[in-house]
Amino acid sequence: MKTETLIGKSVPRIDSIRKATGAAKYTADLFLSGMLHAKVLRSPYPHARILDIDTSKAEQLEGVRAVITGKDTKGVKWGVFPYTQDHGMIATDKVRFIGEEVAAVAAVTEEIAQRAVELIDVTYEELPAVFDPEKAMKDDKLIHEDRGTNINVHVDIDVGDVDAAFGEAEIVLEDVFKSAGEAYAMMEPYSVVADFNSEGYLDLWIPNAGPHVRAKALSNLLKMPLNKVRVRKIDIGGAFGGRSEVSPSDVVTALLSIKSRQPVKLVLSREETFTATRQVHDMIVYLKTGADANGMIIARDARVIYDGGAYSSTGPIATSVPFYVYEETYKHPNVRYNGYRVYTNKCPRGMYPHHGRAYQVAMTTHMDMVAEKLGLDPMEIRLRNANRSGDHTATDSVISSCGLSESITMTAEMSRWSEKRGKLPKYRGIGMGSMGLMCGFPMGFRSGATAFIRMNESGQITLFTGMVDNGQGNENMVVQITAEVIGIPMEMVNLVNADTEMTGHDPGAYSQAATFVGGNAVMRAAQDVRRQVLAASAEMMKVAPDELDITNGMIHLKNDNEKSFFIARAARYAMSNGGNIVGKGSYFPKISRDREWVKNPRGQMGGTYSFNTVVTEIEVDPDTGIIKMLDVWAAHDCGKPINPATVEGQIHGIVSRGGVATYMEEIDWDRGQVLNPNLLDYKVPLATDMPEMDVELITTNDPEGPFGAKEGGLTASMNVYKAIVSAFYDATGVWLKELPFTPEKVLKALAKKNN
Amino acid sequence: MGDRSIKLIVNGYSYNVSVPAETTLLEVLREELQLTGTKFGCDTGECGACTVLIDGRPFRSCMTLAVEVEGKRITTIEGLANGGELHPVQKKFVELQAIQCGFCSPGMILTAVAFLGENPKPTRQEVRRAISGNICRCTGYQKIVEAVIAASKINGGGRK
Amino acid sequence: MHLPHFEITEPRTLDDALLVLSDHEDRIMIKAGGTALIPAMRLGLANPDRVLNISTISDMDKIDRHRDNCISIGANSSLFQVRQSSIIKENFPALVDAVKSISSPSLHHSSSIAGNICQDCRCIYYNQSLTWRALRSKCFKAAGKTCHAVSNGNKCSAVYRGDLAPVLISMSASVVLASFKGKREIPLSQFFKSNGIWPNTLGPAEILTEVVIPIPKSNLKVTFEKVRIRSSLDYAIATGAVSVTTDSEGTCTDCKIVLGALGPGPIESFEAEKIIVGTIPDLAICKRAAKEVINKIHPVANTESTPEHRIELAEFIVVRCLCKALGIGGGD
Ligand SMILES: Cc1cc2nc3c(=O)[nH]c(=O)nc-3n(C[C@H](O)[C@H](O)[C@H](O)COP(=O)(O)OP(=O)(O)OC[C@H]3O[C@@H](n4cnc5c(N)ncnc54)[C@H](O)[C@@H]3O)c2cc1C
Ligand code: SF4
Ligand code: FES
Ligand code: FES
Repeated sequence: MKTETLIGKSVPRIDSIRKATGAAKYTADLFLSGMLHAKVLRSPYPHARILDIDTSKAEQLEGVRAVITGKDTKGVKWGVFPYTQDHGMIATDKVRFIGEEVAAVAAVTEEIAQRAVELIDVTYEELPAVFDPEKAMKDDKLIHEDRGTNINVHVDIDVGDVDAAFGEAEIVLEDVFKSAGEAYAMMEPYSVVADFNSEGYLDLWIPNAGPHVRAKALSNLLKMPLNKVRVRKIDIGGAFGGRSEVSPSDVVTALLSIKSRQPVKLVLSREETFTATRQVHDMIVYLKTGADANGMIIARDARVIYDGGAYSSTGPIATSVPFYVYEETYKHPNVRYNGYRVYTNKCPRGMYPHHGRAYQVAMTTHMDMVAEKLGLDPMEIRLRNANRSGDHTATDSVISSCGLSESITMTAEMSRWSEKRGKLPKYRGIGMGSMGLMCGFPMGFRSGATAFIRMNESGQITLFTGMVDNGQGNENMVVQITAEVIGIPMEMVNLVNADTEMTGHDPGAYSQAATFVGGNAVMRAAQDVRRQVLAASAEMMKVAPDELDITNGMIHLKNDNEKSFFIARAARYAMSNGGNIVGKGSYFPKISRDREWVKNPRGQMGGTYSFNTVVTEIEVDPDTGIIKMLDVWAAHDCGKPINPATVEGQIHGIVSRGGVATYMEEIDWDRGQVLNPNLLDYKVPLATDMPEMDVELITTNDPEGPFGAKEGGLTASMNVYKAIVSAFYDATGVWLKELPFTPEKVLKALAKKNN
Repeated sequence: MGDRSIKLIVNGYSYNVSVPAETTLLEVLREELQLTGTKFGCDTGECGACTVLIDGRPFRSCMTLAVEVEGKRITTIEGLANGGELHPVQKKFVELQAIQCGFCSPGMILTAVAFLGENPKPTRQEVRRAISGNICRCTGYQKIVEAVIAASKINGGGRK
Repeated sequence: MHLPHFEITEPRTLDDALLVLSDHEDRIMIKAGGTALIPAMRLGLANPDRVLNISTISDMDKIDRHRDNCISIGANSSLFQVRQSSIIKENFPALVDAVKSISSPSLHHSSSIAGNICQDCRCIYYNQSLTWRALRSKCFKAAGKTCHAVSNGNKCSAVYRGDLAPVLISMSASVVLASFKGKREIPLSQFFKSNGIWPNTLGPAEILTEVVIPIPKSNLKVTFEKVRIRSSLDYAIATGAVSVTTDSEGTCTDCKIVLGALGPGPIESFEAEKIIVGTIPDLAICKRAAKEVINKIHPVANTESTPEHRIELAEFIVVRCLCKALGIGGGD
């Protein structure tokens, strides 16, 4: 007998009940005894020298327990790479953006902390600020003097013979594309609880996307041994790439707790979450494209400027990823890419699921323009240029499994593409976007994951993994995998995760590697347990292990489940003959170890790649300029969906963040100050803004992924906006080149066309 | 003048708290009663995360003064389930995966519960409109709409 | 963070409320649902020493027929009550449309009609936190001497974004204002003074107690239109209403064209109305009237949309409303 498999089943997520009943605890929900409340004093200037900070009045206020400034840090600067270490987390010499951390107070109430913050006197000397990255590149106002330039990162890739290819091209196009930065706008405002105890341990609860990486960063910044810095498990209200890195709030709260020797809680306001936690890059793309008469794109020359804000953040990665996701999708025989991430006097910028939107829009729009000139269907030109299984990318990655063409033809069918493209009524249009994406990228020795499992005497198990869940369903995914592998119901699996004290390393939930890398490690740990259970059972039954199977927690002979016994017996047998069953599993993706983002952008990028196509139909209101998505079809090659409803949910969310955002979302600036730091003026899509969506998952069964699984959703977010841009042209005959397509831009473009 | 002593009835229990007039219901729930299921998302009425039911109707607790709700029947997410039995809306949110990070879920679920009380057999479009004041950054709302519709099919969404 | 400290009074009757109000004129503010006031207090935009919570007054939320040919809506009636009321649905469908366009349905339980009418003007440089505003000099609305939206501006151009006033004015509604001394009823159009610093003429000791709307004759049509960026929750970037009365020949005998969210108060264009009245309006005439309306509006860059865009929208709203009211095709 073979029971139904759990894999591919939309079982309810294990984290849902606590979230549906209010029992889930997020950072701000923690109340520790003796806990103090923190407030941060932030820079009122986009660029200024700090001449003096006087905290004496604040210190004297009754109820204040600790006041800190940049002097309380260890002088260590943070950067993901040794060459990007530029962020001291609390300003010392200079402030570089409005909202930067200058000082902080912990007090017995929030009100007292706030009053104390207002009593801190800071003397500044204002410096000329620069907000436009192209102006910043001229280097006449330096944001980091010691670096000698405002160019934070330059990624330079040159493959093939670009100039010769342009010489041979039938069609050559040149355009400029732009996109505004967005806010992550997770629903949970950023919060930290830090508890420094008498034994010298610093416990932290922080919304994060990788507890181990976070703990290491903090151990460096605080000059504390890694084993003394413990990032603990907590529920997290969204991340979307914005919580991958250590944040100044973490350092501030930690230092306050260390200084006061009491637990401290910092809860940022919604405004601070907008203005003083990371945002998304603004971009400018200068693109030249050459194509031959068959619609093959034979040459690309791109100069891309990323407005990086005041600090490096994930700079080199952010400057590269847009290039890679494109080369992973389409053939790129001759390409020159110059990506510049530039410092400006704005809040630092990080990665986002659809990071690089101007670049992808530029590349796709040029492809559509070539198709138009050659009278090709946009779908056809995509198919002609698409990568296929076994293809090599421009920078020498091999695409092992590739469902790209299938996703294109499938969405075309789902949407009845050929009946619609070019044939819909005026102001209605249909468009397509496709994308491939690496599941995991090189992060040195941190690229792999390790998981453990132990079984108790009743046969129930506890899984220990560093895997964190920001809402995407990772907790459920690992439990579902574990239960399936061992052959027990999910209820028999306890989960301990995202706690650096109790779990092995996990690279984190931000490089699309959670299932592929973390899930793989968990699968191996579960296989180890299963092997041990079978070995013990075989000994008990005096048969060979491979004659046995485990179904629903019952051990039985493969073709006979008449004589079966509960797994607990195997557990006890093992205990009497050596000890608890304990399994361990590790996985390290097959990626290049000498690849480096700037110095050596060559070699295997990801262990595998996932593919997705989105088709959308939109309507443009010619009177108001408002765009509405009417329908969305997505086909996603996620290898194998472990839990299909979870993957669908990821794609649904992405259609709002990556799709509707195409015409609504942007951070609005006025001289370094965010004009829309709230949820009314910043337009996060609402239920009525969203279309009904039709998501189809393609199974390609990746040979490396757990049960064939790859990444589950991010790819779509890089597509949906491209689909909208393409649909907008279909609807109006206008190529819009500046995102977001706000109603006023739409009306202007339509007016220009009609004149 | 000092604090006001008020009696609140939350999830069927009564509590005596002493608060100044400017204290919001959100603050009392989270800080005094430590009912942290009600979420702080913006504090200015823009997100719906702090929604609770007052006499069965949705109110944003960040804009509601605690003194105003004295003696009224307040339901928070913690009080929605009937003992161990989830409310139909909760049940469907769980079953159909309408919850991702879960931060919007308490407010979303309570808004849906109140709405099904007003309109027990809604269309999908009506559901969308009803929850359009509650921001969810994760789900794209599709599964939330599905869950509310599914809940409406279980004895009228099990009024509250 | 707690709201700034204040005392609260919760009167049971209107008379009690008026008495308290006359005692504390200066530093007291009325709170109905609080959905506009509390966020403003949170941002430090309103700092009353005392809040008069009028939502505790019983009997101020009745919707009923009143005198002859009028319907009275009690000040405390919630937007939910207004949109559910069968009298309102029957007589003033455009008012229901307008209510439905406000914020989102779940907020309607806690939003009152009077609070909607009496809400303050808004500006992207003003509706911000204390810390945010501390980075700039005080503007006119904050008793300062500059305007951040208009360089060298000499007055405040904050925007009145209430959605109900335009449609109510187009329906010739009036409001009853009560004070300790007595009651007065004025046309709603006269309630506004087109001033960004404070948009209405409510006296310091007055409470708006009723909105009174004449029951329309059968040949009166009212239409409403609102444009906002998102399809819910948002304030209007342009809003407006039109009422037209036509005789049996189709000649327009009376017309009101009122816009909102385009200036510091609702804006009625008498000139545009004159273009319509006396004609049998067609699309061309409606468009001419809409062009005329533009002369009356001077939006500035202080909302999430540009002034140019809002002017285009004003024109669109007028044409759309007129065409819908007159049954002319082409307005869409
Ligand atoms: C997210 C969000 C979205 C919103 N969207 C919209 C929108 O689209 N359109 C819109 O018009 N509004 C909108 N609002 C504002 C507000 O919710 C509504 O205008 C609501 O109707 C105000 O009513 P209230 O009872 O809450 O008023 P309150 O906040 O209680 O009062 C508002 C003002 O009116 C005064 N006031 C109240 N009642 C009286 C009275 N009887 N006599 C004299 N003065 C009085 C108060 O002193 C205060 O100054 C929105 C608010 C939020 C939070
Ligand atoms: S319009 Fe000018 S004066 Fe008025 S609130 Fe805005 S910035 Fe201040
Ligand atoms: S916290 Fe109350 S609406 Fe956002
Ligand atoms: S589930 Fe994350 S905000 Fe809704």
